Amino acid sequence: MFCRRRQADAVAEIVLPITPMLDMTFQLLTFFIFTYHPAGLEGQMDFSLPGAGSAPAPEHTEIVCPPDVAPEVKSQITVTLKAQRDGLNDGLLSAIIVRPTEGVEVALTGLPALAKYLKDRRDSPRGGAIDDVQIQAESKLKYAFVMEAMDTCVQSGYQRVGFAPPPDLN
Amino acid sequence: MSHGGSEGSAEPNLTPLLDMVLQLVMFFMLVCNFTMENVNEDVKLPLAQSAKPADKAESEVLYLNLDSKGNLVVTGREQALTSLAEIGIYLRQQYKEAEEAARTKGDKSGDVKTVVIIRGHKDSDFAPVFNVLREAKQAGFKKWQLRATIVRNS
Repeated sequence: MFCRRRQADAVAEIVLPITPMLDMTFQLLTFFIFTYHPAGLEGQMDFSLPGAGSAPAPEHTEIVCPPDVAPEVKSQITVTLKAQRDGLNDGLLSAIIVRPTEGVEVALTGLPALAKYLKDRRDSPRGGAIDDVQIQAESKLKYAFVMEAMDTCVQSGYQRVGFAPPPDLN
Repeated sequence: MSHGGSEGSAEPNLTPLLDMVLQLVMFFMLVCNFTMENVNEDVKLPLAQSAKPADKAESEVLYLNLDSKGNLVVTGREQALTSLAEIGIYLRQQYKEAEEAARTKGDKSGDVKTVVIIRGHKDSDFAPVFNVLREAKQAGFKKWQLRATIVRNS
């Protein structure tokens, strides 16, 4: 009798129930296929905001420091972005005005010109002193152009980009 | 001659099929982003070459989706927040909740480490984006990010 039981154990096969596992797997696969939306890769842009009640960059800043101390100049470039308001192309970028803390105001025609201006300024001997870029966009300008301008500034080597309140914002 | 033709059963080999399906399931599980519920897919982000890949280490985030009209779309609410007053109330409420959550975690100062993530539609005006940022700052938030679609240099 003992021998007969041992024979039966040897013959018994372990059958893995594949069907329910396969069912569940297909259900999972279907779920993921339907919920998968391949979107563009999303990235982040860091920026700074002005303090409460801060105004746009001043026209002229005087820096006074002792003669034996190397001046640590933290100047700023304000990039003003103007929006078109002709009723046809409302919100498109119409003009760029760049105003450094020290220096003259320059009107530029487009973002490539802005990139060139910023790179030239950065490469100039005094460029190392330039720290910040402040973007001041008109309230009706499309957000995409503001981001393009910000992108241009970062690509030109200016890592600290911030926003100033729109000049026409109530 | 023990292989009788009539007794033989044709069983499909399921192993490679199962392997492939499981691999597909694993792929989708890995790429599945469960934070998508906070992300409004109607918001088409502006493009930026200098955008860095999103930092997923930040555990406390507040997504603010702005649609093409500049309205704040909040998950769980049917209607978008249109007025600045509504947006301000919402953000102050969120800040208060984040403060309470920080205290519950053991931070007695209740220092809010929540990162405000602005996802603005590319066709929105700049004013609503700036207003939301200003309101977030006035509510007490200290960290923020803008989101953009990364454009690779060709």
